[in-house]
Amino acid sequence: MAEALNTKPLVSLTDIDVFYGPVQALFGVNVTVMPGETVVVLGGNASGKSTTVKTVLGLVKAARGDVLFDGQRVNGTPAYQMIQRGLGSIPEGRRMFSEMSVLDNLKLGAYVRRGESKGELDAQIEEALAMFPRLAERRNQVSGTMSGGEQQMLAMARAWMRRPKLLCIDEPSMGLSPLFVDQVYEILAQWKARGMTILMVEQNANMALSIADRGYVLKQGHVSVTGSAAELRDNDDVRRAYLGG
Amino acid sequence: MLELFLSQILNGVVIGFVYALIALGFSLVFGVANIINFAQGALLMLGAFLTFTMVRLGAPIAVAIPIAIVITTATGMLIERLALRPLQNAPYIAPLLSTLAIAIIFDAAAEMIWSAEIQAFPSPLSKYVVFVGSAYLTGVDFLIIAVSLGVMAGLMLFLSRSWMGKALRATAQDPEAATQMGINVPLMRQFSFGLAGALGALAGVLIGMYYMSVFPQMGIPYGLKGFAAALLGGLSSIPGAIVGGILLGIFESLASGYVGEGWRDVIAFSVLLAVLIVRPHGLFGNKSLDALGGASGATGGIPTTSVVASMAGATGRTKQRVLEAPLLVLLAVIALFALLPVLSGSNYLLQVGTQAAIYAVLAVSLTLLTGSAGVISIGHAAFFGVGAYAAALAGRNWGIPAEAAFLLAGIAAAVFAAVLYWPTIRLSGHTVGLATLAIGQIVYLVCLNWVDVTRGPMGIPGVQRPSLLLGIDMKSLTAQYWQALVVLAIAVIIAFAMLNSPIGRTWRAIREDRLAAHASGVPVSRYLVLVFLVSGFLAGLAGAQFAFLQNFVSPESFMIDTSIVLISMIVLGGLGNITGALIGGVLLAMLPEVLREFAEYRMVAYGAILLLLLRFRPQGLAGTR
Ligand SMILES: Nc1ncnc2c1ncn2[C@@H]1O[C@H](COP(=O)(O)OP(=O)(O)OP(=O)(O)O)[C@@H](O)[C@H]1O
Ligand SMILES: [Mg+2]
Repeated sequence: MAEALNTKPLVSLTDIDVFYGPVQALFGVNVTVMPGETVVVLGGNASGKSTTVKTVLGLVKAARGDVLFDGQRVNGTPAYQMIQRGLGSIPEGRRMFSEMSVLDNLKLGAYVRRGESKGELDAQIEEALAMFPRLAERRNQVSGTMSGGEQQMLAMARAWMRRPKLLCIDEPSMGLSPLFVDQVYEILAQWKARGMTILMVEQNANMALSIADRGYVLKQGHVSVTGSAAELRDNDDVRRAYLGG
Repeated sequence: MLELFLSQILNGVVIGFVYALIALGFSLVFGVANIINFAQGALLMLGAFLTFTMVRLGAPIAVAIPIAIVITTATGMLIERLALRPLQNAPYIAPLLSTLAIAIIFDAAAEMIWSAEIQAFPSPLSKYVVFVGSAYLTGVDFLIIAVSLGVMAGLMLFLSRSWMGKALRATAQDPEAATQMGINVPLMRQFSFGLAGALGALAGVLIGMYYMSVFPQMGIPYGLKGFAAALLGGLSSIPGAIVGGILLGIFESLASGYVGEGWRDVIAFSVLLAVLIVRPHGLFGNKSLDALGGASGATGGIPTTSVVASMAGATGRTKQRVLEAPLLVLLAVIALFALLPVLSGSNYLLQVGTQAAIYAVLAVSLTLLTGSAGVISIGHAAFFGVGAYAAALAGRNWGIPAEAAFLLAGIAAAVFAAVLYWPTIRLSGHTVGLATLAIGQIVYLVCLNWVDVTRGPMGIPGVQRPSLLLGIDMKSLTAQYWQALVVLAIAVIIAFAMLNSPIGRTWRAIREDRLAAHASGVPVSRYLVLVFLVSGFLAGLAGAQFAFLQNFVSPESFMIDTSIVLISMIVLGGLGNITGALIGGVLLAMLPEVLREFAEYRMVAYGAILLLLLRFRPQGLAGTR
């Protein structure tokens, strides 16, 4: 694998503290993602998972510590610039542009690529739609009227349009029926197989560990356990807390 | 008969297209930046006056207009950058007041630069006339329709097809998601202000051509009409804005044709009020006004209806120190001031002192309503005016003794406040500001136009002062000064008693979270009516005292300027804080005296103070309670 040759992480968080007003959400958190890796952040509610991803995305600012992306220090870089630098995001709760059509949502996914030729982008929209047949049938539907599962598909396709170097995903299976969860993970597995680098947050530890290479477990803003997916599956604490046994 | 009707309809349609342009500017800023931009009218005025000036300097009008539009666009973007972006985490009321301050500064500055007079505006196309039956259309009318339709079609294409237009719409729908698509959201907000500025400038030029004149105070009325049209059309669609604009144009055109030109604006603002109250989603709209928040809109913490809470959450207010003097100290200070006539016989000082006391009463009255109960009132001068007119009319027309007129003025203003603000009771946030501004304008215009009762702009002279039975000559200026201090003491005692009782706590609870107050069984409407009554009563007393002091009342004392000065006072002092209201009231009432040589800068100074306070000390001098 390429990892042996390329040992520089794509993203690294070092000793990160994050505050919301007076409330501290992260305490000295360290997370790295190597190119081509799929890394999952697990943890209970309010443990700081979303905050970790938001720190990478530049949506929240670290009070202490370093955020490196592609070898450069990016502390305090606004989120829209992080997207321009190569991040893609599937936000918690999907966040459709709910009054716009499926097609317009997809186009906005490629917003930072707006300099590229229209033909090229249109072709990629068709590719994205081919990946998600449910969306293809609804290309002109107003996205706010779609079901939660369909919206999750659209959020994924929209982020894919960015062609991100690193895809950040916050709880892709939240509120979905098992059938849709399977579909979501099938697509994620395909993307991973094609070499995409993924940092994801998930409550559904079983599913997440089925495709992740490595993971971190957060507890009250601290990293409590870290290791390969297999190690985490075998870890007693993790089993008890997240795997139902 | 039919001819008059048809020609009024035609006129209405034409001016309605201009209103639609203003409306689109409002809708854009409202949608993208999530605020009601009271400075929209100021930009309209700026565009018109820039064109006027360049033409006067010899530029061809076809060159002047585009340059004026470019400058106004840049000004709009600058306003966003300087007056709104820094307020991202400021209290909820801040962005609204900030755009209001900008509007006032522009208005006053324009009066200084171009004088308050109406100026003739070049209108080369008005000499071409086409008859439609007995009605007629001029070249300007055709220009207005053609330009408006062209601009709207262009805007529609821009918003639906271009990357930038899509990014603007995405920002409007979900700014946080837009950020995660790589869209520079602050820049989009700035663009929306720029676009609104361009539309405003264009509308200003067209209005100038249509009426062949411009005047510095045109900003606020046309701004309000634009918002009325926007609201009528539902705020979110271009066709809606057109229909809203045209309907508004027809309504007011019919009003001016059948009732009188002076009633044109009364009808326009009444339409605004009616739509706000009856159909806040407009005729076609689906966009809710309820979620309307501060500059950071939906992206901040949990949306709040509190005017003083910061959008970043409650954290901004925990560390502030609040200065609140006990009642006895306040009364002692008022008593000390009562010694002034003993120390100095200066009529000038007494005059200023009485004015200051009147403003202090008004500030206390407004801080109860806006500061404690959280009802943003930009029409407070209305109750002041109702009190003053009641006192004047009671003596003059109905032969009521001045002592009784005092009480009558308070009661009349209280009843008016409750009746006029009652319909706004279900509104919250910035929409209340809009409604109360409209109410203030309507009351002013009624005083101005209802000549049979108010004598219109001539005002009512010869208002008799009370002459109490104490053997003192109550008609002297000294007595008026003492009388004003007594009124102030009464106002302070009433306000203090209410704010420190369960009633005051309930008002603050309603301000902090109206829904929660509802949910926990508080009869919110009743408490709001109570605050309208109390606040109106105190403003009415101040109005009567004002009428007695001047021996004269006329509409110009109750213009929007007065309402804005009052808001500046309570923001300066600290919202909901009586000590603060007194400090703010007295300081700002004295300001024009201190700056006597610069009297014409008065409103600019008020606007600037308001702007700087919002930026650097939103909790005011004494702190928000
Ligand atoms: N905007 C905010 N303002 C204040 N506090 C916040 C904000 N966002 C998050 N927090 C707090 O930070 C802590 C971590 O939140 P975070 O959203 O990272 O948790 P999470 O692990 O993603 O939880 P969940 O599984 O429920 O999504 C929580 O205690 C939360 O209340
Ligand atoms: Mg989360």
